[in-house]
Amino acid sequence: MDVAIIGSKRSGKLFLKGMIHTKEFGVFCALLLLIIIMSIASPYFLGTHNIFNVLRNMSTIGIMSIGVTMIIITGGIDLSVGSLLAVSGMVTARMMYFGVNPLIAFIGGLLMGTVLGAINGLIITRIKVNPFITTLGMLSIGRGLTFLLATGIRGSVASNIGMKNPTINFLGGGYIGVVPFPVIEMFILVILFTYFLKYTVLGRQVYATGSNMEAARLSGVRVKNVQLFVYTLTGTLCGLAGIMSGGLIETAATNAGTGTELDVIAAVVIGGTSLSGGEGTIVGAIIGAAIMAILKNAFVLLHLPAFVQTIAIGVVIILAVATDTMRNKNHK
Amino acid sequence: MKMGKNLILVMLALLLSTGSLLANGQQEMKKDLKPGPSFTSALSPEDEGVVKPVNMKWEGESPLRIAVLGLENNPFWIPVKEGALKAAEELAQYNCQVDWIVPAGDSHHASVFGNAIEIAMAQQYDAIATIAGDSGIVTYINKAVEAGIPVATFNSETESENKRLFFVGADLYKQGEAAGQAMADVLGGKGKVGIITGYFSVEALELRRLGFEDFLAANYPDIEIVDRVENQDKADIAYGQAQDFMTANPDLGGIYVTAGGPFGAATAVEDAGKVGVVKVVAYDFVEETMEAVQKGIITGTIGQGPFAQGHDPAVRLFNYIVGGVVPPAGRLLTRSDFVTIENIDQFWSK
Repeated sequence: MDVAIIGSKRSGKLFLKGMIHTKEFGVFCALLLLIIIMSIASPYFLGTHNIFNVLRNMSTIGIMSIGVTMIIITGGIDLSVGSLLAVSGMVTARMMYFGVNPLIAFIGGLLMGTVLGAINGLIITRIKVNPFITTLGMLSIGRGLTFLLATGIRGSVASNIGMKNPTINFLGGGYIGVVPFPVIEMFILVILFTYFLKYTVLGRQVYATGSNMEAARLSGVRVKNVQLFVYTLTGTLCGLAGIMSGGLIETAATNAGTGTELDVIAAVVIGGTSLSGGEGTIVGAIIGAAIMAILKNAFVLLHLPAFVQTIAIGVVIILAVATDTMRNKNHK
Repeated sequence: MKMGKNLILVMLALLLSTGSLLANGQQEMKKDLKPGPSFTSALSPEDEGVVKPVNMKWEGESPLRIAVLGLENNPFWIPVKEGALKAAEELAQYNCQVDWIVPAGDSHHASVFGNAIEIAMAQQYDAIATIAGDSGIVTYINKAVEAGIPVATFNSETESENKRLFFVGADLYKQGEAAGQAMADVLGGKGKVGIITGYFSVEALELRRLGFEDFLAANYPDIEIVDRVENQDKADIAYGQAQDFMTANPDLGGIYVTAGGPFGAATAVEDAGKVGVVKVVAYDFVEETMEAVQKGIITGTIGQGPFAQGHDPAVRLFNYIVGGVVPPAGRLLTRSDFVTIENIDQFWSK
């Protein structure tokens, strides 16, 4: 995070000062600390391969957290992301199984995620069921659909479906030089949507909707459409994540993504997004995802027992929110 | 009209009493059940997978009903279900109905399967075959048996003693030991091994893991277990974990996967260019795993006779109730075939 000093020295100093006070800076410092500790603790941590492995491992959660950050900023939540990941991958695999062109299959998978995300959004905005319940229901529906799509190939029991195609496999497991392609995808999407949230009207409306929905509505923001947008977009992003994840192991698994929703929400929260809405950034969520990915990597590199890892991740989540709460108290 | 009302009431009473008489009759016929084999006695029966029903019909008015409770959420269960359906086909001619039931809840936990046992009891099944994923299910099994409904377990079994009549499945601890021997063989007796288990909380998988570790610790002290993680049966998680194993231990010799998703670890080994350098030992004969065995990426995979697990419990329960045939042992262990690239053609073809 190099600070380029643009313009006068004074505005440069203000920029730096402004940055230090953001939540993301605090979490970023935590990340830096973790990296420093790990580099000392294990000679393998800073190796090119390991760093890129960690980045690739976090790309699925990273991409999904782009959408979920926006949802949580608007004051909502999405528990169905894991199921949307699985069903999208399964749709693509199933279409390829029937000989459909992989590009069309790819679009098909994305479409499935998009449609289910849109259904989430419609139920939340038009029928006014609260997001927790709606997406909880979609979690089960999505998983059931995944199983349904997976049956019939080998009898009436759900089977994993192979996903073998050079392009699709490249999406999930390919490399450009030493950089895994999923990492490139993740960074492109992060840059795109960070710009979107900060500098476009719809992006600012996402924040407005979460800050104070009634005030936003009264000032002309179409809050229902904003919400519909964030849930639909998340569906598409989960679709992409599902196809990438299946492409990596060349299989669309029936149990793909189970439990991932909690990892995504943890990343978003660690990154500084408040569950009550109105604030948060995508960069923060990526830092949160990175912290969790490095912790998982650390436990293998340091040969630590796996139970401790599970406890550690829980502690990190609580610490992250606690320090944020304390910071807020100090500033007020 | 008063006459009509009375008539209806009398008919209802008659129907109810006939019904309960019949039900009691069903129970009466089963009352003389012989005592079963001891809980821990074990053997591998010759007729595994092809147990024949005794040549006697169930003499009741309505068919003898057996419930087989299993799962359908991953390809392992395909042959299990096939086994159960085959048993249904074989027993149909002896006035016995076998139902393959998958409880709602898509999980192997005691809460789901215990509930399913209660539902089967309420539906008045005469015998139940079920998986026993964790010891929470013991109370439900005992309740059923005490109510006169014999219970058989298959696929997974708890250590805690209970009143189930018999178990059909692999000896999970012994499978772990066999996997240990297999790993020692391919490693030449020394090297580093990482373990990816499905869930630390599933007893059956812990038996596979501990059998492996205990065997190696006792017989091959030069083999070191460097890491243990759980992948929750997910292949993409196994991929990342296998990568981390190889990073943390550049001289890694093997990876042992106790449950689902081994092809994820295999793909990671392949992508790292370490096929043949890092050996993978896995379980079960699902399509993706067999393909990896054929390509030489997975050194070997251990079977557990899933067809027999689906087929034998129902038939043996029928034989017990109708023919008084007591199962030869409490643990009827299925063969754990070890499939490698050398013998894969006997077990699988694309």
